[in-house]
Amino acid sequence: MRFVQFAIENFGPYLEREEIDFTDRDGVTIIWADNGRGKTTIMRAFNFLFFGNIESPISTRDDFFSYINTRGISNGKYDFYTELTLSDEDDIYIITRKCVTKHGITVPESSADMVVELYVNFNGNILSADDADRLVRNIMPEEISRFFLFDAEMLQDYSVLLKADSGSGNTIKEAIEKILGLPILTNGATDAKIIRNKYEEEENAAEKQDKRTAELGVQKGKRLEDKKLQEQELEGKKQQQQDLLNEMHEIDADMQKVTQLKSLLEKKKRILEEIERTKGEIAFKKTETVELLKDAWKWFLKEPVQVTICSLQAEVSTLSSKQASAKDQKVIIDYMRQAIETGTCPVCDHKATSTEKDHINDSIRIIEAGIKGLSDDELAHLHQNTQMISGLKMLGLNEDHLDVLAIKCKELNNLQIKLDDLHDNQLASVVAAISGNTESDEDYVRDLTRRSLECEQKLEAVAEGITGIEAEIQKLEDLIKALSEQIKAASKGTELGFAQAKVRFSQGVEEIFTEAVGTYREQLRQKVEKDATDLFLKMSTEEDYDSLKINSNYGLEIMRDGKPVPHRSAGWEQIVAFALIGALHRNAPLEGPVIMDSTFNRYSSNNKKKIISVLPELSDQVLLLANIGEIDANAARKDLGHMIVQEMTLNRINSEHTTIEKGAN
Amino acid sequence: MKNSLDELLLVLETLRAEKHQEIPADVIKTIAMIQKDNQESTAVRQGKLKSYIDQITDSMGDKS
Repeated sequence: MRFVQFAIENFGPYLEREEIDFTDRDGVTIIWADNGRGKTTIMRAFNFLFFGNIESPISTRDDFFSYINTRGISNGKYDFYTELTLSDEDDIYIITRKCVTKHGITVPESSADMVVELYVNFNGNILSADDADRLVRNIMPEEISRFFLFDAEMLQDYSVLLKADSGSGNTIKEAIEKILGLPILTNGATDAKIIRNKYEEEENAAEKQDKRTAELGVQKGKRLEDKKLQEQELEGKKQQQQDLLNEMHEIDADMQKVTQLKSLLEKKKRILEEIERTKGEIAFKKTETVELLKDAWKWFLKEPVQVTICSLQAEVSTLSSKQASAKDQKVIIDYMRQAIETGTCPVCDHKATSTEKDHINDSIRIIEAGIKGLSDDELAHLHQNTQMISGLKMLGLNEDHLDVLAIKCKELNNLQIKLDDLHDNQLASVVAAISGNTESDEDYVRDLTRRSLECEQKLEAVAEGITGIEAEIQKLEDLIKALSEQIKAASKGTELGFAQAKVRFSQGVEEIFTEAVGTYREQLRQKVEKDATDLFLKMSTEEDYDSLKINSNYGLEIMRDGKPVPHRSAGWEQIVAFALIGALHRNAPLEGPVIMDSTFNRYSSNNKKKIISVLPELSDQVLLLANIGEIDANAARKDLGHMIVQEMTLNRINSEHTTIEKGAN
Repeated sequence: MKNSLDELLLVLETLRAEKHQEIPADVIKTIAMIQKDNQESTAVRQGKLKSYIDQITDSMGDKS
């Protein structure tokens, strides 16, 4: 099965129809995006497409109305949809899940006014609603979706597999066995047994009708009745066991919620503080920007004012030179007159002769005749120009601040994106996680612990009961078998022979499938352990970690020198989970593309490099929703080489409109 | 990934060949495929399995 095209419209920030076209090549498609652009919405869109739920495959509190694009609402467009085109050899499926306004509602006001619809086009034919639903559940069973659609938080869940008798662990174990194909065998064994019981009833009816076997047939009939009753009781006990396991699962989940609640509340507090801080920064930047914009009109005058200043300065320069020159000449004349009056040069103390004095007088006349100081008009002009220059300079047009303004606008835009992300994604997801999770007091925790213990005790009792009933059934089976042998020896009727043959045949099928469950399960465990170790070592940065060891729940321990590594960090927990998912895909008869949302925030750059390198081993098609900055794009391209089939970018037009563009920015 | 179903079938075939040679090899494979293709509906699965075993045992009875 391959993804061909995914489309989304009017859902979250995706106002218009946006498409992701998958190529025919195997490898990794990366969609790059900053926070708040709509990566998580793409994950949620896949949840919506496959399961009709948004927050998670099993969420029951989805507020569909809140996912309508807000610009869409303003434009009177309320319906949203996701669409996936798949190919499976020669078959083409187009799955469309829509959320539309209920009949009779013109303007929806809440999710109660909306309805979800599913359509499947199979090779050009529209399937009935039931067939469409069945087909989609077959393509992506909810129980195993965690191996195809996951984020960092889901990777963290796998640690429960290391805990014995964990309700959540049991659920994940069932999911693991489902993806590995075990139900083919377990259901085969159960179905064959049920069918064998039916054949035994038919056989017994034939035995009672045959004169030679009637008496033995009646005896056997009683045993069969007893066995049926025991089997019904066993069924009841198994149901009880399942209910208890489900209860344990819920208690585990509640326990986890309680421990998570504090950190969620802490996280919410941090996000709210960050929101306030960001709002403050936005307000400050806005004030700065407004302040800058106040004088913006002046920036447009910068050039003509500068030309004017230059021209005025030129005039001032000319007039000032003329004025200075006249002043200098007057100083010289003063010196010359002083020399005539005192008979001595005031500069060099030379004694002037009368001839020289006459000569100096001549020179004074010539110089005085040549002195051209400023006229009254020129003086007024000089004064006026000087004042104008000073006035124009006071406008402060030396810097136009356009660059500064551009930087401020960009900073403001980034802060707004950050605020949207904090508010619409981070806070919304924490609030959603907190809602319905308000119990946190000590009494509640004590009550959970007590219920957990009670549940464990009941489970033990039920398990004992099951063992007892199974032993009783086995005894009856042996008795029935012995009676059947006697009947067989006494009978020769064709009708009975046919009935006996059907019982034997179904019994043989049952035995083969029952034994195969244990054999194949053990084989799988070994293969999963081997493949998970192989992937783990490719991702590990610790040279002394030598393998992973699997337990009966498919929990994986990191081994160092033959001993389990205690207290592994959350980052290592996720790497182990990655290795498990990869190993499951390698060994699963069910196959399909893997979609993963930013799962790299806990890793060192070396870990990231190694994890990215193994992505193509997870599945033929891998869609990675990557946070810009979380992964070094150039390094990822180098590490993936030809296995990176395409790159796309989520482009934010505004907070209500994101587009999916081909290529990386 | 692609070989895992073959491996599951191989386990079944090994057990059949060891202990139940009276059951033809392709019958077990067909039953496994019925299981694989109808995992989401117990009633459909069991119905298909019973009618298949009826058909096989009837044809075996006819031959004998």
